[in-house]
Amino acid sequence: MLEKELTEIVLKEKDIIPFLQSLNDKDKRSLVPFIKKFRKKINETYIVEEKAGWGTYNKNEFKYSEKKRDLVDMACFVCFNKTDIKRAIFNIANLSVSDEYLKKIIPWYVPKWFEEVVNKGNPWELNYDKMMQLFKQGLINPSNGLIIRRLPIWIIERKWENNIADLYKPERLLKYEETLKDHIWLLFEEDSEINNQYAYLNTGNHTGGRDLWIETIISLVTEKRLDRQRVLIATIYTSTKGFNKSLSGWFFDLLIKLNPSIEEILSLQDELFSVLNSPHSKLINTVLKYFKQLASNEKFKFKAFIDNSSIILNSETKSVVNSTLMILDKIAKTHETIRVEICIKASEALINLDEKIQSRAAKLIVKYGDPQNSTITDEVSLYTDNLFHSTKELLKDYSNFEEEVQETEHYAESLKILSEENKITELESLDDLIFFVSQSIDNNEVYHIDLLLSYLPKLNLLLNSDNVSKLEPVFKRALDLSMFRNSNSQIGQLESDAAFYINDFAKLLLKKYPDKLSDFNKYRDTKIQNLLETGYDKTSIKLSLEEIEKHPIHDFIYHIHYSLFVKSKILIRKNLSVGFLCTPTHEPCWIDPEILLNRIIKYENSSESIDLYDFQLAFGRMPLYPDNKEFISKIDLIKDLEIRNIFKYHFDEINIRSVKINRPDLWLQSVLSKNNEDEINYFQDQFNYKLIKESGQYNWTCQLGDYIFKSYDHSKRKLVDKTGTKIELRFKDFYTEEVKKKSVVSSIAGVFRKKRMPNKISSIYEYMHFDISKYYVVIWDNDETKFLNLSPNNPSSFLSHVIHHNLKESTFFDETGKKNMTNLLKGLYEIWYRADYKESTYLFLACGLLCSEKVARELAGELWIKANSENNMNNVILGKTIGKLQYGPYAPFKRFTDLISANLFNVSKLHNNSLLIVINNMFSEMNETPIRGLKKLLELYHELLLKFPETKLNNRSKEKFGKWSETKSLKPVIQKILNISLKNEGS
Amino acid sequence: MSETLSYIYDSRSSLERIKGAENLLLSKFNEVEKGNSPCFFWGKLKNPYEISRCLITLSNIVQSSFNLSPFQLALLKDPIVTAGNNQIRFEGFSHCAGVYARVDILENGQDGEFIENGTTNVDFNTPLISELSKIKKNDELVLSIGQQEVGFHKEGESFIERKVPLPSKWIKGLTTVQHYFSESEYAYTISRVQAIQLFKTIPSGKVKTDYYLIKRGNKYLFSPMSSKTSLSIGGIHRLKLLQPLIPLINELKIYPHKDMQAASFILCFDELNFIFSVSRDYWRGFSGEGAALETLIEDLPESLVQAFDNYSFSNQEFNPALMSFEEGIDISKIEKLSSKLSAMGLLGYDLAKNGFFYRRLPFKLSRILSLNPRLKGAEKLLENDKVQIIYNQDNKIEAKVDGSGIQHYVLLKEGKQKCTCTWFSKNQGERGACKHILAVKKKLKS
Repeated sequence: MLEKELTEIVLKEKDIIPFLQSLNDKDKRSLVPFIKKFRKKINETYIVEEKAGWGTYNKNEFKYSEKKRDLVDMACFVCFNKTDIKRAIFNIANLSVSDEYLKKIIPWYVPKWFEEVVNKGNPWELNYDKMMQLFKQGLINPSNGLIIRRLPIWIIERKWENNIADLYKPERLLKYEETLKDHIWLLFEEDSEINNQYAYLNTGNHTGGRDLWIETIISLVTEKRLDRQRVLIATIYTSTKGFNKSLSGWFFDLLIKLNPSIEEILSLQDELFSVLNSPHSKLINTVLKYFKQLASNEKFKFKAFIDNSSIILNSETKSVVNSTLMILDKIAKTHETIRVEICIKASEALINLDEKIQSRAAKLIVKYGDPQNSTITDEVSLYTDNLFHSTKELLKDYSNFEEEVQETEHYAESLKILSEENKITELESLDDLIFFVSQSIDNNEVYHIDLLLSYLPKLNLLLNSDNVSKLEPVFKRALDLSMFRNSNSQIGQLESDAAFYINDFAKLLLKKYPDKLSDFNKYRDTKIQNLLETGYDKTSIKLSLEEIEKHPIHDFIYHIHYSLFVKSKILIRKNLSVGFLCTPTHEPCWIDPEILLNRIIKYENSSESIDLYDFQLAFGRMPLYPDNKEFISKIDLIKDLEIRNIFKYHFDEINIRSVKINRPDLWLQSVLSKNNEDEINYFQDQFNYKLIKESGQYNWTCQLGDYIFKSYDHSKRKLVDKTGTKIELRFKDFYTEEVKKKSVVSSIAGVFRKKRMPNKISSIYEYMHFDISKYYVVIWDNDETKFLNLSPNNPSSFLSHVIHHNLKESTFFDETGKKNMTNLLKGLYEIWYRADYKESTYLFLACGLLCSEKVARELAGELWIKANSENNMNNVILGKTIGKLQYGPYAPFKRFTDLISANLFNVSKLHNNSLLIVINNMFSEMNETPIRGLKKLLELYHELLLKFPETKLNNRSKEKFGKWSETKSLKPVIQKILNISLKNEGS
Repeated sequence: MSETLSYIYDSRSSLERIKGAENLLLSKFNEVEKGNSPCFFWGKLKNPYEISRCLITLSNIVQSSFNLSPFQLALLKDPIVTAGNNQIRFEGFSHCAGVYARVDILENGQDGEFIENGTTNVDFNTPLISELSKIKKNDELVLSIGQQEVGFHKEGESFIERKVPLPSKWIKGLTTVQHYFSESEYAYTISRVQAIQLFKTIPSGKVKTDYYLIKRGNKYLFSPMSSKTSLSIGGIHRLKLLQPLIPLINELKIYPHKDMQAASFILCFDELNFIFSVSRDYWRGFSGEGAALETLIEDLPESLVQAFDNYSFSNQEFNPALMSFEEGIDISKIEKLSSKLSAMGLLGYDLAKNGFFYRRLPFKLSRILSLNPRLKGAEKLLENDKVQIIYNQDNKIEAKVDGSGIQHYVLLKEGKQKCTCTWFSKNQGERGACKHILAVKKKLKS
């Protein structure tokens, strides 16, 4: 009956209020299920096709009028409980405080949930005035949260119509007694919008600053409407409320504007001490400014200040530390009895790596301390390692600084390239191989794909009808991965490719053991069916199931691995266990020469021919200086004379000129690995072929140059090419030869073919580059280290491409570029074992030391430290490279000087000397016009020079000093450097 | 949907000035009320400045998150406090459960009365934190855990009800952390100066790559490159939470987990320790780690668990040898028991003392046991008879366990365990056994 009545009222759009008023609680409850359904119906929509200038679009239209929908909402409001109403009406809080509801319903019915919904819903319809009226009527007791949200904007009268300016109306705060008595104080307690600049307002009647609330509070204090002392305390205590930097800073702007007098500051000391624990330096600085005024005052609680000073003396903000030291100085001046305590506190600032701060702390200690006091000298000596030369000079009476930094010791543990610790255990058993294959597509180790290539043919030989079903979960995972490509952020493209390869293996086995792999077969069919039903692209599914040979290759560089996958499949089909020559035997990618030797012999005893890329990869992974040379005598067991000679040449057993080279492509990796300039020239001359891309050896500059960019021309109404200038690292003669993609099958032809192409040496380096036009992401992360490990003896070729694509500027285009950099530096750290790398490797390292990613800079720093410890770093080339890069300058100098101060400085005497060589060589390549940040570098150089005063400056550096000293700020430090140099020359 | 649990505090925690001394009243909530006294501890704290800084840091940790959305972050959670055995311990997790922190007020750090032993949740509200940050060196701080007087809170308005997100994460995390602690080994003690230098080497911003604690000469530093002796720390930016405390410490002790699955630090003050532990990575909460799972499948008689509970409740400490002697139980059983009980949340681990302490979490045991999805998954596999042992000889066990559409292959051999499932392949057992291995092991025990 009621339902029928309600339906009629709504459909005929009659007045619903009398009906709702007539309902008792029971009626309301009984109507709820009906209203829910009815509301759904009244809110039904249909799609209308609308025309627009650019075509048609679909639009949703309600089936019933707005009036009808409103009537149902009213019914909901009166009948629903809290849960139902929140679920039914999205903006119930606004509806509840709308003028219509307040007028038509609230006078005779207030739902139980009304107060909670209004308080929690924060309705924008409700301004502070309306909120207070509801409060006065006893309808709500506004929550603190609601008051805090509504009060800040209340001092502005918004004018929406006719563009009339908004009006600043602070007098509104006087309308209700509660506002100034209670509500305004809440703004000091909880997060609010009080610091909003209200810059968007056009307050016609107020032309002052934009901090309306600061002015408002100041006026209220001046007019004595707010208690000044209470405002001061509340403002100071905002620092303990966990507000963000902006809001906290705003309150302290208010404090500054309140301009507390000395007497007030004295009375508020306890409150001000609590600010010193704030994480925001602006607050601390403000308080320190006040304390500076008090420091000599006898009422200053100096002991409390000293107690609290540890935290601020360790602040990252220099001004905080400086101010603290100044106050401590003033306290010490006035209070003789606590000078020892102050000196001990001041020495805590010696940990700071800023020379001026150290100097200030040291001067304070010298001024008030006593060199005979062991408490002070003990404390000072804690910081010995950290002190600048000038600080040591100041504190020479307080500690014995003669002990130099320790000789390097931490890298005594460094690994040999081939050792028991990094040896990769060779897996043999069926179980081990199954569990290995299962994890091979997870990228748990960088060399797992390499192992997989050898292990799958090996596993194939161990399978039979009893055990093959154990592989089903592996096949399932590979299938899932190949269907959804690279959905896992821990893996690269190569793992996805490996999944195709495992799929092919599964197909082979399915033919052989259909009954034993029926579960997998069923799973695969169901999965495909499900994907098709959910609208997954048919072509993609088909492609995912194709054999690896038919898959498109992502980029040139992937050819190398693809060819190995295909070769591995051939071994499986032929049931061969010869494996690959290039399978690493030691982490991350090295091959034990003896094992390689045995592998070659195994191949020679089989019917299978050696793959060229496999051969090249293997020799590129064979270290030049193995500890154990017993294998040398076994080289003659190799039947092939040329391979035998290459092996001997690789380990300096023969001279390259003494033997005939028939197959330069086999010799290539050993020639590049040995990196002997004379031998490379001989090799190049012999074959009239320059090893440019192979060695990654290019001319480069880092200077201001032109570049072309697209810009929209409004007159032509189209994008046009424009020329701009920027500082860029450029390879002048970068290898740009187009490589025609060979079919994978032809690329794996054996090395023993009869014909050779003239003047061309086929190698993996033909594919070691990227097609920038093809992808947004040039080098996929998680693959880059595997590419680097393709040729660890000669990383320069691959790294030159990374520089060309990712490092033209010191900032990164995207996250992938950053990941590439950190992953590659970690990879390079692992394989770095000599000093004579080509320049591209040093250029990559230099870019690492200067790039915008701090982690990468630290990694590059670690690599430098390790390489120097092992005497494997050419600091002259590195210094020149950094200097040449900074000619641009490639990057802000501060990055490098901060890295030196924090990570590279004082590692050991050896490292300090190496650092001196680096910087000395940098100077010679740098621009005559000094760049920003040069002063800090000169200061560091001076600091190092004091440790090695016998160092000779090279002439080019001296010339630069002459030019740079024309700059006033650089002159003093350059003079200091030249003085040491002069003394040196004089002696 | 994440599980939540409603706390109802008897009253709001507060810090009030009474007769010139600060009174810290911590309101309690307990799901398993064991004693009847409304108050666990009442007394004076000797080192109020350091304690209040530690509690603020703990509160910052509890309010921080390293992998949750701002919405999830907006929901607050509260630390747990344990009073007993003459020590007071406040402990909590970050929202993401990847950072654990505990403030241990040592025996000589307080002067008061332990009216009753117990563990409770504590309401750490903004005004309380604000009051704590006002504490200065020579202030007097009186701590009262629980409620001084019954009836203090008769007014209906003083009840606070708060929905807490994912307390199950906490409970799981708490059990895992104790397990990791017991497997952690002491590595270094470093001085305050060295600690300040060390913490200055934390890179700014969110760090995605692993960092390592290394020693170079006399200096300790965090480096992105590992070495043989370095300690691995994932998500190193989480350590920044400790930065405000470092200038105040006496020394810092470092305890890496034996498999580097966690790194723990003890910040030593006078009469006070601040224990801080970070999970293997910032996106991995302790709650998701399965380190304690295998001990949970250990079937121990209910009577033994009960005997332990009674014994420890009255003694407030757990001395395996003494308990073995007094209760007449085989010592090897007691060792198994201690692992299981810490996994169940009945024992905490004190790194500094290298031993367990009794701390009954304020949650029902059934809740703790029912939380772990891998354990539940394993039990479901067994219920549905999906585990088939195909070989069991010479210390080698092979089993087939039903997976989705295919059968997983599980191998237990020479103390090693392996499975062909995705979880195991990815983690290689580092994050605890998968449900398939757990199911096989449980089946073998039955």
